Amino acid sequence: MEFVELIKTPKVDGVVLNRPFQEPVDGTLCVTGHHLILSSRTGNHEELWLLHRNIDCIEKRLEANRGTVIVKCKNFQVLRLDIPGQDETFNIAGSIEVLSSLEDVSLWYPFYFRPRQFDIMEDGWQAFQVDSELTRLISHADHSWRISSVNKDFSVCPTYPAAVAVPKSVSDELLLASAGFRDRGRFPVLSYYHNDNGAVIMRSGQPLVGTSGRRSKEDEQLLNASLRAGKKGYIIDTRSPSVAQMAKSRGGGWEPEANYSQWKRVHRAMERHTVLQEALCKLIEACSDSRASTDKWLSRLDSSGWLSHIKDVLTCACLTAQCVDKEGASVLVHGTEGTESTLQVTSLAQVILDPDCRTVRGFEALVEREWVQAGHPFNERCGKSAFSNVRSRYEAPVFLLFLDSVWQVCQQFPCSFEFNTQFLILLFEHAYASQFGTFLCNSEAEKTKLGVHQKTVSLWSWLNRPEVLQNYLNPMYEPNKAVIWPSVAPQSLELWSELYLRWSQDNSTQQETIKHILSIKEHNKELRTKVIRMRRQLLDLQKEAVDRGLLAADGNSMEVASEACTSPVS
Amino acid sequence: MMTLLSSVTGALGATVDRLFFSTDGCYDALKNLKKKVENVKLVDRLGARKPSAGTLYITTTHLIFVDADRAHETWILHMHIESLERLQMTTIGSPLYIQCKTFQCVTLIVPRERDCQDVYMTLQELSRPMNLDELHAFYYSPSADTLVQGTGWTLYDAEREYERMQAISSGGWCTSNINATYELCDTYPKCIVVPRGATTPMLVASSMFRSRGRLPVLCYYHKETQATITRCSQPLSGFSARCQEDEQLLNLIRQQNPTSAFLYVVDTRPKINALANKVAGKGYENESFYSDIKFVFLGIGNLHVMRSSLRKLVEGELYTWSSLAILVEKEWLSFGHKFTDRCGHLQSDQKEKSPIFTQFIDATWQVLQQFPCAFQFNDKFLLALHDHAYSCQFGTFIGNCEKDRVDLRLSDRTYSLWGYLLHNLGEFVNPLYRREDSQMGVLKPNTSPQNVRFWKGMYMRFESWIHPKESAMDSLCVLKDQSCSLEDHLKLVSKRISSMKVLVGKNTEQTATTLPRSCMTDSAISSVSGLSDDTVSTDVATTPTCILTPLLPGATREGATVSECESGVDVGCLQVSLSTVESCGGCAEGSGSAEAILAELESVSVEWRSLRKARTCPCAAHFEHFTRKYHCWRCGRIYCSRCIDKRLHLLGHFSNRAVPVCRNCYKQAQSTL
Repeated sequence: MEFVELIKTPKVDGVVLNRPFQEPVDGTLCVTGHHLILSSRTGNHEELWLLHRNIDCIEKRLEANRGTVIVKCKNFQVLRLDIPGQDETFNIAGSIEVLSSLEDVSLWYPFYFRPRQFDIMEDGWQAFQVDSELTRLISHADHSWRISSVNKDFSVCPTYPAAVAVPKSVSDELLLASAGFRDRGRFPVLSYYHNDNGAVIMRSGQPLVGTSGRRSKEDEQLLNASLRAGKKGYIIDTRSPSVAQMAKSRGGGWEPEANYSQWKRVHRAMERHTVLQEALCKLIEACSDSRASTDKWLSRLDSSGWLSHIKDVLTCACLTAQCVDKEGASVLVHGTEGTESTLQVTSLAQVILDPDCRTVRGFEALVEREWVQAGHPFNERCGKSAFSNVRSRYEAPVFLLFLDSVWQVCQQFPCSFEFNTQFLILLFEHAYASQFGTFLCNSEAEKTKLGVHQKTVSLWSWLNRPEVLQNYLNPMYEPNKAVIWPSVAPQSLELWSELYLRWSQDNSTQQETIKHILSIKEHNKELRTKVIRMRRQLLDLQKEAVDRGLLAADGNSMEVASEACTSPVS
Repeated sequence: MMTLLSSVTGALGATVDRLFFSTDGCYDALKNLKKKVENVKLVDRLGARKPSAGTLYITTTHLIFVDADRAHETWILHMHIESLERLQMTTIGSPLYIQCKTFQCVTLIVPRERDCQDVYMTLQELSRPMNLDELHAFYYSPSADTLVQGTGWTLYDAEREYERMQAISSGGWCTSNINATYELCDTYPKCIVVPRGATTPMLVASSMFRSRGRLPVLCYYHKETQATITRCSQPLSGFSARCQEDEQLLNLIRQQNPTSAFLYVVDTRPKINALANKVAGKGYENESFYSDIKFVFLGIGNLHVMRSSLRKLVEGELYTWSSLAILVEKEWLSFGHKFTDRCGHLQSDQKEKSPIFTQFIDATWQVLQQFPCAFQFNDKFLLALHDHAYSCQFGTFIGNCEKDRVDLRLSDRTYSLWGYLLHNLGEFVNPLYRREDSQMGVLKPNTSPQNVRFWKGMYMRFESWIHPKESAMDSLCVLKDQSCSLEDHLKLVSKRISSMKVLVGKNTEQTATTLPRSCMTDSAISSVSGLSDDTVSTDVATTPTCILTPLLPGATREGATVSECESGVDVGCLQVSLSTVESCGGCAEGSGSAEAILAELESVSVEWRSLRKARTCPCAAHFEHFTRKYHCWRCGRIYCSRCIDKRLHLLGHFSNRAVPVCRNCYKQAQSTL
């Protein structure tokens, strides 16, 4: 298929672009295979360079000899294009509609994108390879865990990566048997190993107990092998008991106590799919109505339920982290498939527990391991965003909800994260539309089939370049080794206005503030190094002076001298 | 809260006992009342923390609850008690529910019902004085070395303020002493500003036409555009009545602004909503045009103006703490906001109570949130302002209008809040404040409802677990303080280096060749000292060295006006640091021994402790999220405000300023001298 066939009017002059807080731009609109481009006539203004994939939906209004296209983006931006000519408007709107919703992934921009502005210094595809990441994860595990390649051709579990970490004592045959007993073959695998006490977080799909009460000795064996001697484990089911009960009639279910006597099961209901999608739509709708009264706004914010979904996720993650850190107990998390709320809980628990996950690299590794490689179906979930009326039952802002939860923790610990809010917003945007291949497809198997690793560029290849990354660093970061316990009280949760209100408020003062903070921090750092350097120089000079008898030494002060030079506290 | 805490010299349990015995005698209220109850349980608002058992003390001014382990203290000023309610008795005792004007809510569970009733009666009496003379302000006397009585009362001077706006020098306006005896309008100040052409009969007639005599007077003059904001009350017009003089007066006001042919009338009713609404986004809808006047003026097609403090906040140059203080003095106090009635200071008509001032404070906070670099003060300053409007610890907010305050002789008999705030400026500095930002011109806050935020720090201040566990603002304050100390230190070190070089270089010609290192750093030093020369002076003036302001010569001198202190923040501080340059430079040659140099280096801490690990002060007091934590500039450890009450000049500092040090360091430094 050629893109040219889809573009009836590639170019229109005299188009006016309207955006909030910016002057209208008058220029030439071009429709290419992947972008909507507006170049201004005067040349001084910023151009619009919008990925079709980023367009959630459009509205067109036709008048006698002109038309208006309102473009609503997946990142919640709304643009208005005034286009001269009815036919032109009609053609452009038509092209955008088709081009923004192409089904065939291999036609998307990442397969065409070749980085010109930068050479790849460190290939992002190599940075977080499954094997090396898992090796790092179990490096302190005292050889009680191993990496299995039972899934190397993705035949055991199509949504798992080629390598998984499992208890050392468990054979690959046992894994095969357990996979047969779990939803989508997602047998329990290691998600996190707590270096302090050896407790682990595992995740899986639901057990296929069904109405007949099936059981799998191998599955039980696998789970028990993950427990430390004499310790009980927790199974956290992210569904309410009634939903889990209903799943039985469709062949799913939960682990009965009789068969899993060393485990204690807890249900923590979390919403999924359509409910989340609805919540986001209502939230964005409320955010974009600037004429609403305060009361109306607050009631709409409340009725969207978005913040209470965040509360659910955070509460469950805190519970998981508590089991691991406070009780030293291992935890298995699952919902239905184990690709949605399960991942929210396991990844957020790691943000709480592991200081590494609060660094840029650590968080990237977490997203790669717990979301991309763990088989979260990004393609299905991020197909449409908050505006679109056409939606399939697969769309859900599961990943966004996770990012928002991380943001809430960042708010409560503003000095404990190496990255800033913009970093999280960047990840959100790239999950929905990107020139990079990181969030393409629904699993590693699909990625391999399409050759994503070879044919596209990884987001990390670009993001980790120092000149790019510096914009996403938190100036107030001060590494924090402790486990951080966020408050989940409703009063503690806030609306992430930097994201949801980004397009309806002026962000320039916020950016100025960040710059200002950075300069204060830099200045302080500079002074400290300078003081240390100059103190050393003074002491050297003084020593020379004393040695040569030019200065009175006054006793035994020389030994202390070197100490005072570095740190007078301690 | 901390400001309240530090205002009363107190420490843990034992000292509390002493405190309430020694402060007795202020007045007789406590004579027959309950003073101390053991085994009381305290439950906070959401019941999230485990109820703690401890001892309840009632002093003349505070209700103090001390935990059994003496780690936590809860202090409630009697004047902050909004309501008291006795709840149903339970098996563990009689609960007493207390709601405060600071939005703190606690339930005290007293084991014996008789005690509970006594506490209830005592608090009832103490929290609602019958008349003004019983208010705390008339008995409050801080220890003499911390606060001088007269400080702050002359901060606001009406004529000076109008002069600053250049309203009078512009020629269109003049001050009138028609209200000098408060006869024309008892809720207006003595000094009012009216159009130059307005005659006395015109003003008198206009005043009679307006509700409570509040005739149109100038309140804000924008010198760039010559636009003005004037204020008045509703006309007593009905449908047919009109007043020629009032019309003439408004006409004159219109003519004072040559750039505009129009005059806008903004009616702020419903008044209660107006302030909050302005920020809440619907303020503009609610301010309908003043229909009565429009009827009269329809032929001319003119509209005229009223104002709101908020708009001034946004348009004016009100970015420093002192300008906010002046704004409150002028707009709220001198023009007769009825603080005593609205804040419910006395046991009287509860219908007059209304949280207008709270709304103003909240609205200011909203602007602060949107422009974090534009204001010299921080949210704690606003909280202190809010709390003290109710506390009656200072005379500033007592009375309903300027006339009341003159009659009560408040400036002689009580302390001014401004003096107190000035004294504790260190707590109220916004580390992000940049003068450039505040000179950007008019701020345009976003008033859509989505941008109005819930101020947890105000309304849920005492529920500490819901707040962020780390504060970027506090860390920034620490960074700025530390930078300030290091810059000063660098100046001294670079001076020592150069004199040492002279010493070493003077006697041996070969230094340069034998010691290439020192040669290399030659240029580095000169660049450093060049750099620090200007950075120190500029940065010192803007960083929170203002903590030290009261210690500056002149600022605490008795009889010194606050205007002197005020300028001291910006200029005085600079002057001091400059003037000490010479004195210090002179003595610099004196320190001849290696030991002396070492002592200098040791006296300045480079590595300050991280705030993160600070959970308690060495005195065992718990740090709450809102308590400001202070570093000792000498050892870098962290203390609460009670423990960091000493000031000292550090040997390693080039300038002569006294900086905060802990008691331990103070003792050590004193002994070595």
